[in-house]
Amino acid sequence: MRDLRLSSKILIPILVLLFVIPFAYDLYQFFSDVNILVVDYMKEGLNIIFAILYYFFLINTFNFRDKSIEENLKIFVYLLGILYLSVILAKLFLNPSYSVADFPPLSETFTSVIYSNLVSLFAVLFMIPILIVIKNLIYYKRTRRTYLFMRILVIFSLATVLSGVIFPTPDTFEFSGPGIYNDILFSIVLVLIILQSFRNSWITYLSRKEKVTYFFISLFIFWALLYLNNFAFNISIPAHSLAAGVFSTIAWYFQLSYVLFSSIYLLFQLPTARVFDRKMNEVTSLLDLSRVISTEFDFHKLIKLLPEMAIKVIGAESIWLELYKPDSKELYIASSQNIHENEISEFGKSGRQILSEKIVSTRKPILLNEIGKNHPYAYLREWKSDIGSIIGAPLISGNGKPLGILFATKKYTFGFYPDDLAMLEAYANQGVIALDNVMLLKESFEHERMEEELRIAREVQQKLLPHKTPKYNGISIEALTITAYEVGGDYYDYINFSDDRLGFIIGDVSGKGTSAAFYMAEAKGIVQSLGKSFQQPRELLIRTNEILYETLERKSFISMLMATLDCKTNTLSFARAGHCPLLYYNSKVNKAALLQPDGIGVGLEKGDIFKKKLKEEKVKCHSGDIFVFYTDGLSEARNHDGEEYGDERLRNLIETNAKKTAPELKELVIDSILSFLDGQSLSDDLTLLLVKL
Amino acid sequence: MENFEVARVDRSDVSILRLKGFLDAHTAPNFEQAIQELIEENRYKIIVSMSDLNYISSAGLGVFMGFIEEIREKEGDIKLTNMTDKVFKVFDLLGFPALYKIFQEEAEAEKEYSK
Repeated sequence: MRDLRLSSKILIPILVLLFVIPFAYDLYQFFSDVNILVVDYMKEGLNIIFAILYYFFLINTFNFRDKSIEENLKIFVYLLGILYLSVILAKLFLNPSYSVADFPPLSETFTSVIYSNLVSLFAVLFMIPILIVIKNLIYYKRTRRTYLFMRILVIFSLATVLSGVIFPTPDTFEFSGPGIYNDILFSIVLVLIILQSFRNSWITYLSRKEKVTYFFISLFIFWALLYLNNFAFNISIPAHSLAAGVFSTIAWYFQLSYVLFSSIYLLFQLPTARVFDRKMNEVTSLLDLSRVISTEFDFHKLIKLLPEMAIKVIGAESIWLELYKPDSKELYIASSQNIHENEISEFGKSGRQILSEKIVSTRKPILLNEIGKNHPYAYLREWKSDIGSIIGAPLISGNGKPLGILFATKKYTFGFYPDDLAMLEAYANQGVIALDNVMLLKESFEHERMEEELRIAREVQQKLLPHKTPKYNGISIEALTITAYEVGGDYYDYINFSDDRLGFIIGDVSGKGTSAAFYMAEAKGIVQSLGKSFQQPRELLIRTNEILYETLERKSFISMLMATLDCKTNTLSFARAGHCPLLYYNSKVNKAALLQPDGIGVGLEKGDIFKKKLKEEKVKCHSGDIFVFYTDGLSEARNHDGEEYGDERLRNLIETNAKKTAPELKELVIDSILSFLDGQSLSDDLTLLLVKL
Repeated sequence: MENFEVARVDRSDVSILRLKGFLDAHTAPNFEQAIQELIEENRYKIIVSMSDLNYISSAGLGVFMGFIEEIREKEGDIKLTNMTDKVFKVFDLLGFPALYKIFQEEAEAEKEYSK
């Protein structure tokens, strides 16, 4: 039957015809007093077909199913209103009168016939869509049984209609005579109607406001329906058609019962509506929050969102989020709603601190519904007189670290319920998840960026160091660099002045990371190009300082030691610009010494003092002599106990092993440092340049 | 990470910063901030007292260099006092004694300012 699809083009003429034929017969009957039972049955049959076709016309033409509850209810009210209006108008113009001595009643006047026909038509025209509306409401939460019950109801209603036509009696419920079948069937229908009237689940999910509004509307509808039967249907419809009469009576009972039960439902749900509303709000809002949180990774947006979303649900006057400053025990106001940051600050650090400390130390939310004069939190009154109640919930990170506190206030005392506190806590917990996520992400980005920077710095540094050691007769050179995890600015280089003049440079750029690596590159370039014109260490360092002072950042500097070994004259001249001493082993006396002539770091001063302080020393050297250039990464290497390796340890090591070859010495130094560190990693780069004559 | 603390004491127009712990690349920003605050308050007569400073790295030394020009332009200075031998060695190696006045005691530096 559901697939019965006739276009409205055909349906409308058929419907008109189905109304006109019985109407014409009624008129004919009124004037001629003819009474043929078969024709009467045919008339009723046409009326029933009319109703059924009209039903299909409606569901095919209008999409009732997709309508919202509100729309359905509006249709209900409008249809009822139009029905009343139509009946009133018809009554006014036609002034009907009936003789009720018999059943069915008889029209006494010609206009009464018209009136009966019209009211029957109105009843079908308006009651059927109202029934569809009720069906939609019942189907709001549909189960298999809802559908079954509805079908049974329809079948029994049809049976009642047929029985009503065959045994014409008024619905007296006397359960006797020929009316007994009507009464039994009608009783079953009524039971089914009452059963269906319990299906009001659409009410549950209404908001509180809707529940209140609909309750009053339902009272009005009930009242309107109550009078409808007596006012319009009772006598006039059976006078025209028994089928229509039974139908309208059933429809009327159904509507009346459904509206009554809905009213009762609405009434019963009113006290809990607020709570239900809140819970629904909470669920949707928390869902919203978690959805937003999973897509929002901007820390600043997140901390704004949290109070923004929380204030709506909790219904607080103002709300604000305080977070701990990174690596600090101090809270700051991260974001606020309906209260200015300054106002919160006025609360006074100490005042807030007492409250905050309590929340953080107990890790539990706090609820202050009354801030009385003798109350331990009475000082809150001094801050803002318009704060009656305050709640606060801690944000505890996944690793147990407190991240901050979410506060909410209301003007009046006893403004918050215990479930407000639970809600605030839920928000705080959601906030924690979001903040934790953001922080993890930030850390991993930061970490990645640092790694990348370190990689670049290390690469630069490696490329800048000499790729091979120069070959000079009678000189053996060994270089060692160990890079720490964090790239420092260690640097060493050779300058080939001539076949018998070789320059050594060792330096250490202050600071770490990429900038140190780039300053080192700059220094190398400058020294290499100056090396073409200046061969004396002091001269070279003075020129280097002049140039670098201009370009280096004020807080950056480079310690440097430069030496020139002249193989012809067997002298090593060197100057020390703030660098570690030069370790010199004199094979003649079997003694090692740390040479530390005056000099200040490159880039510390523009030139005058630098020049004045920088001293050049000359060492007359012999075969078997050893020079060790090193950086503070070696002398300041620390073991577990925080003890430094120190220059003296190196001096001793060289002195006692001076007979060994340069590669052997290098190995010794490495072993010595490693055993000193004993697994502890280096915090700074370490560079060693060992020259043995 | 090692600990580092800066404590500030103001005596008339002289401000004393007492350093404690490890001053390296990680903690240098704390020290930097402390000096920055003094400059913002137009307090240019600064004494940095280091009796409890255990270690200073090149980045720590850089902090002094970062501000000294500006401070001296405003006729102020940074005077260093109470260095342990170990810390003094680091300063000395770099040639800081040629650039900064170093005193045994805070009082001596204060006296120097009041001259």
